[in-house]
Amino acid sequence: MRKRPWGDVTLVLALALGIFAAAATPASPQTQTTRGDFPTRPITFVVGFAPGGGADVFARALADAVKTVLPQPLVVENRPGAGGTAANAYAAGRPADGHTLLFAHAGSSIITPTITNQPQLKWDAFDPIARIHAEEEWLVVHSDAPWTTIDQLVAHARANPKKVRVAGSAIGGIDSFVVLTWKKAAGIDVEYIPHEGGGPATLAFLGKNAEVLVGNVSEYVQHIEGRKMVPIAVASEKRSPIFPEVPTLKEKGWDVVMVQWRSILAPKGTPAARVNLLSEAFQKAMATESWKTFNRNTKAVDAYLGPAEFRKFLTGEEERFGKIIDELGLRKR
Amino acid sequence: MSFIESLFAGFAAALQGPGILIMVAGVAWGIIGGAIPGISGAVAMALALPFTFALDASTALVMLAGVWAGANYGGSIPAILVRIPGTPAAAAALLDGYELTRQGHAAKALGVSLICGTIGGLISIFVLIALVLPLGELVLHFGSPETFALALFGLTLIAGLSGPSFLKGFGSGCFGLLLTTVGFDTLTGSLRFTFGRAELMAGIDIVSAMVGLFAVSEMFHQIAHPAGPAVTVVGKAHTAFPTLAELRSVWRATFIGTIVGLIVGIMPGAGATAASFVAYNEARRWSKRPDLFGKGSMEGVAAPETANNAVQGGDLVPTLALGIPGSNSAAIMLAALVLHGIQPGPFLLAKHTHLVYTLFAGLILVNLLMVPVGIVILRLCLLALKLAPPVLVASILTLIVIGAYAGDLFLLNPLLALAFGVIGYGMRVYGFSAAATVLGMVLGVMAESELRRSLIISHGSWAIFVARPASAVLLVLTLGILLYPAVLGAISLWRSRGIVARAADRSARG
Repeated sequence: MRKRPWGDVTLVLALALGIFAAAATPASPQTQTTRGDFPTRPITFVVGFAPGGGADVFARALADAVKTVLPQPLVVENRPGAGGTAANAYAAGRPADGHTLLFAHAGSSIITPTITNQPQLKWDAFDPIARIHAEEEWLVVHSDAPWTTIDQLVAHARANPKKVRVAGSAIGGIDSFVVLTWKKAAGIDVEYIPHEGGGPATLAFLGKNAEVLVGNVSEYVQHIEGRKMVPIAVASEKRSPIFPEVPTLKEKGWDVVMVQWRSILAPKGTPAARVNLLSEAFQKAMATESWKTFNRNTKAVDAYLGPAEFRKFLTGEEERFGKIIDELGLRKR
Repeated sequence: MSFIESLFAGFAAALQGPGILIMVAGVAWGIIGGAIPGISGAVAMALALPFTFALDASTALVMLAGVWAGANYGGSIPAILVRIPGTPAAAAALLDGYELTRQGHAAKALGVSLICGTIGGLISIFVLIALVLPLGELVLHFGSPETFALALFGLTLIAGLSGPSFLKGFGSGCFGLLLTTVGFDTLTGSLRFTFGRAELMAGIDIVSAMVGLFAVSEMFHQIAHPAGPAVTVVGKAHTAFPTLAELRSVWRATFIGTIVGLIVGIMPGAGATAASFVAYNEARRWSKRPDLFGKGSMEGVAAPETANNAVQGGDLVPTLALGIPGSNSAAIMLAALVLHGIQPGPFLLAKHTHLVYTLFAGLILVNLLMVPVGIVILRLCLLALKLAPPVLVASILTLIVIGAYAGDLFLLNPLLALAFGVIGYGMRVYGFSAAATVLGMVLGVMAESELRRSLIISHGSWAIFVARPASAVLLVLTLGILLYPAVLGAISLWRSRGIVARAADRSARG
């Protein structure tokens, strides 16, 4: 070892490469969607968030599910930064031939570009491919709290202005929008405590630094099963299949409908045939067992929309979020 | 199955098939990734993540654990050799590690970092295995006020980094704190000092700032003073590893580093970088030779490197006990579980006992494997010092530019690194402390956002900081550290006056 350091390292590297190569051998494709000359090479799936986060895990699970449907793999490329919009700028500059896709959610494709006034990074600078799934936004309280329903909580908050604290992620994210619109609709004054993400917010809530927690149920579902937390409302259009006994904010008379949807865009000008092929491939991928398991484990619900419906949906979302952003005075002038 | 049986079953599972090779590959990649600036431990793990899909869940976890442990060590290699912190957490070890290299003791510094880091990593894993559930309860007592108090406690290190002029050191620290106000403000949703640049939304990139202040400024210094003490003191001394006696002499710093790493690792708001700076400061305070710190103290390498490896065990406490990742690296472990169809959460330990114990066994094994793999890699890295100084300086500058770009792929970041190089060089010429600025940047975001969040939690009452026991203890300690020199000075003054008075008394009587 003392004489030939290179020999040892070459050996280690060779072994490492061998293992990686063995590990990375893809599963054999089954029913494949292909049309003429597309896709001819691996498709780059650009994700504007760091590996290991919700967006990244979503992208990798989807890439895994779609590999039995497309003849070419979907390769996740993380380009984190600037609230996800760094990836938007990068994807916008790539050829619009269907071999580049971009992860998009409300934050990266509507809210951040609107707040920072960068229309060239907004969703309509791209071609919508498909909306895939959504995580619902829940209001959760401690199981030993004196209130067990949303009505009791609101009554308490009304009698004690500024005393009820709600933990959630950063201002400008869906969590904060849910609370701010709910607070306005219900005419109550609650204190919102922003955190760096859902994980830190959940920890702060578990440590009794807040009375209410808002966020995606996947962050804390096991604490609900462990009877430390109780969901009291969901900000969805309809009651959720996950906890069907919990009412929606909407049925209580407050028009707060917001979900954390995750979707796919492509650079503007991607040929329509390829857009359709891709959106169909994703729809098929969502029927696979691996995707269903993933959704079950992360407590997400399928929310597929094809290119045309998704474009309509995005137009509506932009209008809604634009109003909230203006009310909050977040828009950069 | 009893606890010991579970652990042995874990070892058997971790070692089956190609287990050991996968661990070696993971550790080797972790060390290399950690050594490249811009690739942090979490990024190195993420890059390895796709390779784990074909493995079963427990082998995948063990491999990622190897990358994680390797990256914790790898960051210190360029920090010690060429003053580039490979990961932000290696910035504290750079202060004395690079001095040791200049004195011709590069291999000793790298060896201390490797051995002490391994000890810290191993002890933290043992503590994790023994106490994961009770510590999980403790995590909930560490909220925003405690994290703010820890940041203040860490900031007292400014005094230790100031050098001859405390005022200049204080100013340097404040400059670092000010720099952290750039970017998106989580608590109000507003953008501060970003000048319309998307690259600045996440704040000034800490890696670019660090390599600028430490490495680029050092390169400028060498170019300006070619006759001065060169990096490349080539000779036998460079390849001499630390002796057993030398390793024994740093036991106190290693012990302090382990304790600090564990505690800070458990705290949700603070990570490896904060831990290594706090450990550096504490090791200096309790050292028999505090005067050597900053001038090439082995303890100054041992303490932060032990701490940043010991954070691994602490990070896994909330991850395994509560299902909430304690750091970005821990988040990738959870992501690997999800991608393998396993739901992470507080019941992981009960529902997937075998998997968790395989992870425990794997963590012990990868920390042990780090020593041989680390020795092979650091021997190779030592060859870099044999390059002629102009070649070395040029290569380092290239590595810096690539490293600054690699993190976020923003062209602004290499420019920032160069700009911070100019600032760092100016600070050096005029006696300011670049290290204090880095410390301010590391702890600034933590201090500001946790302070503001604490005040929202308490409905605006400052009493929250003394009403909560952990935060009160930290604040009292901070106050004690700040007042100690003043009190000591007052006592000695009072004593000497007493002696003078008594002497005067005596002479008057006599």
